[in-house]
Amino acid sequence: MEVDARRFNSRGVEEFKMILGNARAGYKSNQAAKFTSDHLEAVSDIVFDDDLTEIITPSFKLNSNKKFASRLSLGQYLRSSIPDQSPVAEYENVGFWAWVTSLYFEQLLKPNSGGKTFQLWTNPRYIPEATLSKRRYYRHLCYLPYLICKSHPQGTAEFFLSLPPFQHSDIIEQLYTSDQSFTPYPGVIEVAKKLYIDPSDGSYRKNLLGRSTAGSAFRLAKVICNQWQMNYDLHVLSEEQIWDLLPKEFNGWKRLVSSQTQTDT
Amino acid sequence: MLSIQSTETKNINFLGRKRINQKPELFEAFLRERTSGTAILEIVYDAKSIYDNVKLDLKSDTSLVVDIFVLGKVVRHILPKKNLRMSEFITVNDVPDGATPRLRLKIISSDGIDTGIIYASTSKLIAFKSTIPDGANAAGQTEKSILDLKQSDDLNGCTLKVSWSANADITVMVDRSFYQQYQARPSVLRLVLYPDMMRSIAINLLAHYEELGDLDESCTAFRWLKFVEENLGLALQGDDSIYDPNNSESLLDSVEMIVEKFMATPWNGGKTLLEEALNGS
Repeated sequence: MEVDARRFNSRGVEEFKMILGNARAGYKSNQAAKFTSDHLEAVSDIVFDDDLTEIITPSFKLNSNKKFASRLSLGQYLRSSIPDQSPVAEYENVGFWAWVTSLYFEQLLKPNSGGKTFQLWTNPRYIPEATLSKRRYYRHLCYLPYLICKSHPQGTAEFFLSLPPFQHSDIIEQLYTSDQSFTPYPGVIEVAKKLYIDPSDGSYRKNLLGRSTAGSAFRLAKVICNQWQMNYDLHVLSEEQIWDLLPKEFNGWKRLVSSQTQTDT
Repeated sequence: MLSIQSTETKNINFLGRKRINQKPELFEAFLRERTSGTAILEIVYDAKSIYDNVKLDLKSDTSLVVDIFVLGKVVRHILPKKNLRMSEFITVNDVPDGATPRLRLKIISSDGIDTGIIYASTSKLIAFKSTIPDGANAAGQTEKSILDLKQSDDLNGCTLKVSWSANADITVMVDRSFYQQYQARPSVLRLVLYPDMMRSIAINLLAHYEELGDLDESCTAFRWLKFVEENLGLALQGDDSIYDPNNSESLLDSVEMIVEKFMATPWNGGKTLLEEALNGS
């Protein structure tokens, strides 16, 4: 159903925080809390409450029934739905991003086995902080996909967002945050896509984040690219040029790519 | 690569890259404005001095570029190579308030054969120096800038509107279409908007004269009050106040005094807003 996009007013944000806070009571910050159907119902009750929300002007629509297969499809949908120059899209617009999260909340929670309860993590995944923190902003499950789809080429979005909508991961924590030498460069990302994503099912290959694994994505982002960007203008190097620059430690990963290609043909 | 060197030097690394020193006589980088996620940045630089600094020939097949990094995104701007100190304004979108744009200055090959090679660059990412009046509170935390212009589509033909909220926050709204049409010419934009903005803020401050002594330090009205008193040197409270609440003519005189002092004060690059706009930056 197409609905007018809204934002929580300050009371709405507090109400949303209270629901999440109640569910997380007694859990440590590194533990997932159990989120029940009662909690979900409490969230549903406030999404369109006129006392807690207000329609955004100039208005735009969101489809409240939309289902997202991945973080990528969520990011693409928000990117195409939120008007380009709309100030509501700023991270600090806490009321808007918290409301979008509440609109699609069930899809942003990983179901526990049995599917009747869900995993709830700490607030930065669901409610932005009043001021952007460079260490946490990327945890927001709706803002980050939107930002990546808005600010980066399609290939970069595909590399970072090929995960279920609820899945925040070390791909983001370890790789996306390499924001000087890895993330900004489409040629590097295209090489990473080839090396670390299995084209047969779109999943990430094993051990891509191994700190001491030869040729891992972790080493590419944190070590190799850091060295390259001192001497090479990664902004203009093509995927092929970067592929050729890869040192020997990447040969095993390259072989995986070529064997996959041969299997496909 | 050696063919582009002006003189021989051993100050190079194993692939030949040289380091551009971070010195004001070579370049300076400023964050001039932030508005609704848009940052206006200024690079003041002397291309000849930068090339001399790394002993490269200004006329070689190279480009002087500045890469601006914001939250995993890089924006590249090619700086004109001229034999004089000059400045370039660059507008970058999607810059949240908490994000600090940083830069790396590079001399790169523009010769087809060597494309992708960096001949010289600054060694680390350098943060743009903010010239936006914004206070750091006692805890050292940066507060939201008082010059955080909000773009609006609802100003009924006005270019600018200033409002005072119940918690004494002063909000400055600018017409979105006007702002976006002129944002590439920030000095003109400032010249058009700021006198009216300062006038409205002064009126708002003096209209709330009775409340000035009780303002919370975290509100923007308090910081505008401090801006007028400390940056413009015009007291609004106490015995030295330029404003006399018992004299009905004093309001207009005081407001104009604030605006005139604001416009006569050199800001960016030691220039008044008028000088800055006339000099075509």
